[in-house]
Amino acid sequence: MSRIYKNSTQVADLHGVPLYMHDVVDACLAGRLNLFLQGDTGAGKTQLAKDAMGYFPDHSLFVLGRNDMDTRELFQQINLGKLHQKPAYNLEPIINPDSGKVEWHYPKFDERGIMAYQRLTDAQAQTVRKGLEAIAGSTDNIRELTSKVGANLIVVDELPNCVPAVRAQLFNLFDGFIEIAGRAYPIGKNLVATYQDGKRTVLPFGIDFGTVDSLRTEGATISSDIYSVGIATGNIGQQFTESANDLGRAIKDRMHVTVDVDHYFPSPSDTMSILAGNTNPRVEFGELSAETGHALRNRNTRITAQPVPFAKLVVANYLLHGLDYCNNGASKRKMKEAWPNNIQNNQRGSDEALVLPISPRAAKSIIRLSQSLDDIALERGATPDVIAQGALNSMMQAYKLVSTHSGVLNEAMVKNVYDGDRYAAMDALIATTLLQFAQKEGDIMSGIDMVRKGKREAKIMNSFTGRWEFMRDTLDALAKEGK
Amino acid sequence: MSIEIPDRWLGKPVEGALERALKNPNPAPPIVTPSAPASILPANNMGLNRADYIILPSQTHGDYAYGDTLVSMQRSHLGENWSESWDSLKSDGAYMLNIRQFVDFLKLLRSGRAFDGDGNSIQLSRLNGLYEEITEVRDPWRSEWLDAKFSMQAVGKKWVGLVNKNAMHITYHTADPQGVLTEVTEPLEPYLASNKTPGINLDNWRMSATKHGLPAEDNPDGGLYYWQPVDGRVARFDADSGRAYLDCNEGPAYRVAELGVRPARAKI
Repeated sequence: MSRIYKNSTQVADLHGVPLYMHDVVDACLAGRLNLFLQGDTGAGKTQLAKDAMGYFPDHSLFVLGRNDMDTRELFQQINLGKLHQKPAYNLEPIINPDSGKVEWHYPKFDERGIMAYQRLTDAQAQTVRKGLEAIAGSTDNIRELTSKVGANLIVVDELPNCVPAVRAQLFNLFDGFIEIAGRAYPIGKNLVATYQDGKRTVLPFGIDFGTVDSLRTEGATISSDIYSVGIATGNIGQQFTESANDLGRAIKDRMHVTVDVDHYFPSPSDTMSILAGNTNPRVEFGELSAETGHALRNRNTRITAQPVPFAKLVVANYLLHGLDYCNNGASKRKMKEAWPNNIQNNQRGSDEALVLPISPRAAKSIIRLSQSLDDIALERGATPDVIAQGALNSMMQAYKLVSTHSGVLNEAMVKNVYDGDRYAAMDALIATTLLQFAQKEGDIMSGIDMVRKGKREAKIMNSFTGRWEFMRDTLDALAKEGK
Repeated sequence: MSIEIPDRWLGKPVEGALERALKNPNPAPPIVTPSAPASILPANNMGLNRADYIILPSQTHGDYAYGDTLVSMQRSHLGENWSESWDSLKSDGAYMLNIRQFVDFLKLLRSGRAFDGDGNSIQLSRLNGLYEEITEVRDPWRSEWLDAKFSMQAVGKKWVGLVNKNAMHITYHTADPQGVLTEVTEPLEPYLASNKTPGINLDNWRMSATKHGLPAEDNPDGGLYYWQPVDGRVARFDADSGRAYLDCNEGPAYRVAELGVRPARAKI
C-alpha cells in the first residue's frame, strides 16, 4: 500500500507488535468492516482513505460528498445513471377472476372528474410496458448494469455533507447493493444475508427493500457476494453519537468502526517530515500499490473462515451480558432511557454508570476486527502462542476502536470525569475489564476444565455471580457442544 | 456453528483447575494490581483501583494525627444524606474526610505535587483540574459532605450551684493504620465563630486552619462564604455558579442529587 499519509503515533500494542493508523485501515479492509474516519479538517483522514484506494487501483470509487448531489448524480458517477430514470408506473395489474389472466388497467378521469380504471388491450399493454421498461431499465438491464460495477472499495469524503437519500445509497453501496424503487439489487451476482447463528441465505434478485431492512433489524448482515467495503470521512463533532441525531444513528448503524484521527494525531517528527517534504495542502493519490486488493480479499476469506477462539467468545459475552448487569440484578437494556439515572447511588462512580452493553452487531464487529488485527500481528512476527495468550488484549483493542463512538458511553460522565475524552473513558473501562478477568481467571479455568470432564459442579457454577452470571449459561452451552 | 472446548485459557492449560478449585474450601480471590494508569471502579468495589485515588500524606495538627490516606478523585454516593453517605462508605470499607483532612487535601492539590494510589506522579493539570472541580465558582453545583457534626455541650466538671459554661463541640472520626475508625468528640479550638457571607479568604483558610480544619479567628476577608458551626448541624463544602462555601450549619437529613461524598481509605 502506498503510504503518503504519515503517522507514527501508535494506536495499540498488540502481542508486542506496535500498530498504527494504517494498520487499523488494513484490518478493517481485511475484515470487510466499514470504517468511518472522523476528525478535524486537514487532519489527514482523506489522505488515509485515498491511500487505501491504492490496494484497488481499478476497483475503487471516490465520491466527494456534497449537499447538492442527488442520487441521480451518484448513480451517474457509478455508471448506473440509467437506473434512476425509472418513471412512475401507473399501470395496475389486475387478475381477471373469470379467466385467471393478468390484465393491465390505467386510471382515467371521465367528464365528471370521477376516476375509473380502463383496461388496455394486450397489445396496448405490451407496447406501453416495453416503452416504459426501455426507459427505466428492466430487471435484466439492472442485472447487467450492476454486475459491471467493479468497486471493491468505495471511499466517500465528507459523508456528512450528503443529503440523507444519497447517504442511504452510499451505505448500501458499502454493503454491496443499491436500492431502486424499493428493491435491493446486488453489486455483483447475489445479495447474501448472514444471520446471527452464522447461516447464510442468498436473497432473491431485486428483493423488496423493506425485507432487507427487517432482516437487518433482526441482526442479519446483508452484503454482496463480492468483496465490497466502504471508508467514509467527515468532521461531525462530538454530537454525532447522540441518538437524537439522524446522521449519528445512520453512522452507528452502518459503519462498523469509527476512529477519531485527531486522537491519534501524527507525532511532531511526522508533521516535520510532512511539512519539509511537501507543502501541497491537497490530498494526493498514491502510487499503485505493490500489494493488491486480491491479497486483501484472500486475507478476508482466511479471517472469516477461521474459528473464533473460545476466549474471544467469552470476552464478547462479557461485553454483551456482563456489562448489562446493574443494580444487583437489573438490566441496563431493559432500563432503556432510565439508565444511567436509575443506577443506585453507591454505584454511580463505577463502570455500571459509565457504559452500556454492546449490541450483537457490535460484538461481531469487535470479534472480526480482533481477528484482523491478530492476522496483521501474525504477519509481523507474533507467534500463534503469543496471539492466543493475548486474546483478551486483542479484543479490548478492537472494543476500543469499535465502541468508543458507538453511543455506549455515558456522555455526562465522560464530560465530567474524563474531560470529554471518550478514549480516556474507554481506557479506564478496559483497565477495569482486564482486572475483572484477572480476578476471575481461576473460576473460568475451573469452569472450562469442568466442562471438558463432562461434569457440572454447583460450587463452580455458583462462583459466577453478578455480572459474571452469563458464564453459567455459557458453560452449559459449551457442555452441550461437547456431548 | 460449533464451539470447540479449549484445553487452554489465554494460553494457560486448564487441566487440573477443577480439582484445585474443589479441593480449596474457600478460595480467596487473587490480589491483582491494575497495570493501566487509569481505570474506573468496577461495581460493588470488586478490586480497588488505586489509580483513582490520591495519596494524602500523613499529617499532625497538635494532638491530632492521621496516617497516609487514599482520597478518591471523584465524589460518589450522590443524592444521599449525611447519615446515608456514612452507611454507604462503611459498607465499601471507606470513610468521609473530616474538615481538617479536607483542608489538607486542598493544600495537597494546590501544591502541584501528588501521587496516585499506585505511586505514580499525577500531572499538574490534573491536580489543578481537581482543585477547580471542588472550589471553582461555576456551574454545575458540586457539593460534598464532610465528617463533622457539631453540638453545644457543657465543658468542665459539673458543680452544684454553679452554672457550667457551654462550648461548641465537634464530633469526627480518626482512622488507625488499618482503617479502623474511632469517633472523637471534643470542644472546638478557637475558630471564626461568626458567619461571613462573603466571605473568608480561601488561601488563608488553607494555610492556617485550626486543628479541626475551621478558619482561624483572624481569617481576612475573601470570596469563600462561611457559615459557622451550629448545634446539631453537620459540615459540607459547596461550589456553584454563585459562590463557593464552607457550610457548618447544614441539616444532616438534607439530600440532593448534586450532593455526594469523597471516599477516603487508610493506605494499607
